[in-house]
Amino acid sequence: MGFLNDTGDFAKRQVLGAGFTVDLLQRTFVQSVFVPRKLRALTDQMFIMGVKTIPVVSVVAVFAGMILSLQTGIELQKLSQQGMIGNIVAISMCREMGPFITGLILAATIGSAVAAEIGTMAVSEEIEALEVMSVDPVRYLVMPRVIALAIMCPLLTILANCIGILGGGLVAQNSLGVTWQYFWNSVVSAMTKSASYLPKDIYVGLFKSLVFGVSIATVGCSSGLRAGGGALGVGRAVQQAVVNSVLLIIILGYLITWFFYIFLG
Amino acid sequence: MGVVIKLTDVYKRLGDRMVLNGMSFEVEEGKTFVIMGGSGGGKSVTLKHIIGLMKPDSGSIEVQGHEVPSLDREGLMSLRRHMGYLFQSGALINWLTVFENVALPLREHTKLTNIEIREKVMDAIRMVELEHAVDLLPGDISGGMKKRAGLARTLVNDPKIILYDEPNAGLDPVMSETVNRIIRQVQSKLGVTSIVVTHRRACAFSVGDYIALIDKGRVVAQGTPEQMQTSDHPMVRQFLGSGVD
Repeated sequence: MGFLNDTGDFAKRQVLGAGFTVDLLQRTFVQSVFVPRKLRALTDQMFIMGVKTIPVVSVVAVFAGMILSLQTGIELQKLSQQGMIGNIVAISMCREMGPFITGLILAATIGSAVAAEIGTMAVSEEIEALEVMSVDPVRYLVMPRVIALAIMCPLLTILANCIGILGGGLVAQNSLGVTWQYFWNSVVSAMTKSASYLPKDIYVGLFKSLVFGVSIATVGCSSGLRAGGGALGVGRAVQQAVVNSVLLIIILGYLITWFFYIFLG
Repeated sequence: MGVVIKLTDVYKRLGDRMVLNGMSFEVEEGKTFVIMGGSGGGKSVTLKHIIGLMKPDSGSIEVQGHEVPSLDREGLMSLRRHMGYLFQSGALINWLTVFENVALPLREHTKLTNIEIREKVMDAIRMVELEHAVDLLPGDISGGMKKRAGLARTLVNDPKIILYDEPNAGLDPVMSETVNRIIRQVQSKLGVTSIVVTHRRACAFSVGDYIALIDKGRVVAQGTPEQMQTSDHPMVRQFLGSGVD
């Protein structure tokens, strides 16, 4: 019975948490009409969430591109098809790797920081202080963070895509014997094959990163706002924020890919 | 003078504990009502019900004629603009300076110019004697200064009602007396209606027009400070005999 009770309590907490997060997202959209009055807070958050994350995103992206190029290139070399490497690196980075690694980095760095910051405010009565001053915590705290990450996540993804492709090109040139010109032509050919103004591989990847950005910030704020019980509660909120963000990135990533490449064709 | 705050038979259960167990009292306009009692007696929970941060399981809570538990979000926000709440910790926003913390309600709710905001903020900061700390962050000031900054943030909105949650908790006797003096000054200059929650005897007798002693979630004795001093109620005698000062 104890096990069943614990499982029931866990399931109840998860459902209530999900409901709170969805409600928070909806309230954030409603409050987004006040963006012009919160420009200072928005730009501050964009700097903290975006600009300060550039170094780590760059390092991870360059190595992701290099690993992708090397692993795929070794196999392609056996079939004398290493000329395809630019094509493969570009499509993989733009469709999946760029948004995915950017999302994971932001979940680990920004999602956890947001949960810790707002969680600390919750346990030290600062959120209640906002409430009693009739200052809506969603407008004051959540909305600027969600909008900022919704803007910065796609921008960081573009950066990760570019740096990842460059990393792939370096490996292709130095370890696989593919000239830079040949690699670059292969990248351009892959990106322009759809003949549309913005290639599908790019816009689907950017749409993914927009969804990831909104999810990470909302989940971080939601976990923080529900924190209770002092430092231990803040620690739990951070852990919960990171775990839920990573799960959402993987699940939503799959669903968006399915929607654009299978459902829409 | 009319009754501004009225609690009638308020019950609240948290987990398996009855925190408010038939809490009833009234506060008249312009008076300072002190709620004394031991830790865990339901003092802070009572304040949170009055300002609408918590809802009772049953009972009535009237503030300025409004039934607080039945107000919607907009109604609560409107009511709270006439109320102030001093948290135990001060609850200052940790990345804003003292000045910006005090200015926050004005920036959020008014269209005052920066000069007008500065004037109002400095008036409030002068009232709590914190002029030297306007540019400091909450992390750089003492507990007593945080409470005074919190009080300045409460005053800047010109509230009609102020709720003080343990204004002396964690303060040394000198700072404690300073806070008591500021509460009395606020009372005499602005004429606000106040509820002060404390377990400090000196604070209760220093600032209160009326004092109520609560135990296990309900009022067990109340009266003027003089009546409480001479009360032969065993719990009052026990509490006043051992009150922390």
